[in-house]
Amino acid sequence: MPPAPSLRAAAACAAALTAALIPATAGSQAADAVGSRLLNELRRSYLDLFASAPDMTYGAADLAAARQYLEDAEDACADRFKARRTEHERTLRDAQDRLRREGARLSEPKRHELHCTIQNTRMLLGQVEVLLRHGVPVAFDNREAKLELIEKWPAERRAIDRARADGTYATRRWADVADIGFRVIKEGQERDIDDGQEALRELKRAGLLPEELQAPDVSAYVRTLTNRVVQSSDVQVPVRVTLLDSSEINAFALPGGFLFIERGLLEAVEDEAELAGVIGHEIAHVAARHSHRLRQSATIASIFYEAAQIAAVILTGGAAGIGAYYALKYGFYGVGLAIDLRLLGISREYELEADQLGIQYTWKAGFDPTGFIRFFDQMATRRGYVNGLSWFHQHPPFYQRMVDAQRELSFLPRKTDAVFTSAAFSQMKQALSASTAAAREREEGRPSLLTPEQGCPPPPVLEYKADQPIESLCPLPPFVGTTQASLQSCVPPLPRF
Amino acid sequence: MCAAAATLLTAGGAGQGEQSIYVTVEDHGRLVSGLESKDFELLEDDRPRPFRLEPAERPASIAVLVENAQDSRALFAREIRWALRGFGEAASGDHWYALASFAHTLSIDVDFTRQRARIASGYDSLAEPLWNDIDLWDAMYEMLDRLARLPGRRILLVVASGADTLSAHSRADVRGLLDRTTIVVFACGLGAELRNRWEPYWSPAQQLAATERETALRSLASASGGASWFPAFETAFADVGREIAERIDHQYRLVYVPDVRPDGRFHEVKVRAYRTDASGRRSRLTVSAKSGWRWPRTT
Repeated sequence: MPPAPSLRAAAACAAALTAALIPATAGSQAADAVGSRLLNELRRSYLDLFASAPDMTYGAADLAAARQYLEDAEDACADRFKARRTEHERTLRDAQDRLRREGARLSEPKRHELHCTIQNTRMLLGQVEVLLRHGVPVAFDNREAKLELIEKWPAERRAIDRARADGTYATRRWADVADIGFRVIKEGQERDIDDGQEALRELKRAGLLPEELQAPDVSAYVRTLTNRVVQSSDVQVPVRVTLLDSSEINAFALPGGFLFIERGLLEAVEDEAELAGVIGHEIAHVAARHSHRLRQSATIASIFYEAAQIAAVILTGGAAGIGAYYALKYGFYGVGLAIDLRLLGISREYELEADQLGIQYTWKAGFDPTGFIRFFDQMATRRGYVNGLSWFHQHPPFYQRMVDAQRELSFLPRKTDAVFTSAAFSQMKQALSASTAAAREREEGRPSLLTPEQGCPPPPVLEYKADQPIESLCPLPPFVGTTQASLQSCVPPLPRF
Repeated sequence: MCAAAATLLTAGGAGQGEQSIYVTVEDHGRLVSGLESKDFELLEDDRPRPFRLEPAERPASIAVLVENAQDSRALFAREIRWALRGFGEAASGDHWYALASFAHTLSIDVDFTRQRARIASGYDSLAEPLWNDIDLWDAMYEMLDRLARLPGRRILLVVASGADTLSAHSRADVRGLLDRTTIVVFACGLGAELRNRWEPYWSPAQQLAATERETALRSLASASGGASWFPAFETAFADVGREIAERIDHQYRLVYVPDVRPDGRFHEVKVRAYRTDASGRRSRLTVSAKSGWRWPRTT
């Protein structure tokens, strides 16, 4: 009689663990040590890796094994969330069945209990779904990008050095940085203003725009900074800045110069150059009329239809229900989840163009042009991948984006007096902390018409902190070369949530 | 006490077994503040009941429900804007405000916020309605049901014509829900100006329908302890909005333990208020308060 599935799994697990803990040869032990070291490198920042990758000596086999490990680890992580999703779906189904069967006979406390179970389970399902679709892929994409950087950057670096030496760098797209403000990236920016206004109305109608941040000092600072970057850009329309009172780490520009910066982003940036870098990137979309160009290939109507569908699911208490509502409106996934998906995700080509132009504008305005890359870096490496999800989602692959940004930085004339940060930035941060505290206070005890059942026990939350990497949600198995695939079923279970 | 009643009592925000009755008091049309416990009487099924006077909870949860069908938009948009503007100007900044609209279905357009200006701007941002059905009873029922789940003082401000075309719920369902909760309804009726102008040309059936629309809103608001208005010209809507905000800030809260059973019958609640002058003479004041309880019979 064959062993039961669980026994089979246990046997496979034991075999894999044995292979991992008692390596057969000294050679495989050494290979695992190299692999573990390589995986540790992936925790370093992009800027660190740009500096140190040319001196690294990992072989093709090490890189291939690490890549395979990451792919398998991502699958294992996703599988565990899928299992949790199945479990939640079962709980939801059972509760709904019971409500249907016994509805009329249920006492009020029992009914309330069932309502709470359904409500909380829907919320958990929403969280798992977002992690499965976005959080986990983004986290692993970032690791894989760093692996690619270690592999390819040395050759790329040599190519950059050659281009600088022979002057071919001056033939790259938008190399004419001396003409910023006088060159034409795309004609007809002013024709986008009507489209921007219409898009703004649609966003408001769909209920996807958070409230405006009421902080005059912060607004004044951000407007001044934005003006400074805009004056050193190719933007020919007035840029209207609106600060949104949302914890989402996000900024986006609508066609025609409507720039929106969310409170979460202002909290996340660590210096003035980082903020200038993000603003530069966003206004580059305006200068290059990316929204207009996008509309020529995809109808904006379908994008808003998608946003409206999301809103409809929320308001009708659909499967995503309240979890998605909070995710969209107040959670760390924020409104960017809906907006960035397609409306502002733009396209890969446009995003890379905005990176390049944004870095140029930041540089021209006199800020440290590494600000953008540092912000990207701290978001992806230190702040936790999921937290920055919407900002990165569906953008070009990390590797290409980072390398292109670094290449542009290498080609720009170095400025010795580039501004890194300022006293005004510190003052803005101080004023912002008061606004943040006030926002938290305002939200305290806030009732909602969209929460179907009040008075439920607090819903369980993902045991995840913003400053932690994906491992805090999905612990990864140790690297053991080719045996690691068998370890998928042996890794510790997901924390309960 | 039955489980259903217990749940509703808890939802009312008072202590165990306690319920709040929200009351506004007028003296010849002017709102009266500063009354004390001794100035009130509370009767349940004509029997005096002990109570205590407490400050009405702040913040209150105030939801504005606006009719937004195709014809309503075409005919009454300006009146609605005036009403919302007046209300927004006079409403206190420390309450929570939400906006919902309805035609064929209910839509929550602005969830609770302290930025009361968002109620008027929320209405301005509403998309052109796709439906011309006016399912008022469904919308009111759903709003009351949602509000009933919130703790504390809850107020529903209805800006509607009183017409209903295709609701699955009836006016009696809405009244039934009101009788089980402490939500106060204020109604700002639309269409009085049109009625004044065109009623002479209407058939008796049309005239009756108009009266029914008005009566429906008036009776529901009155039964909840609220009030209703049917302004006959556009700018009067702003005054109504202001009046509602003022009434909300003049509400008294009488807390007591109802002595009624969930027997499916209506149990009348009466609140009386008096003013005592320097000579000790008491004069009766006009009171708006919930008219009673009806909890469904439980087995």
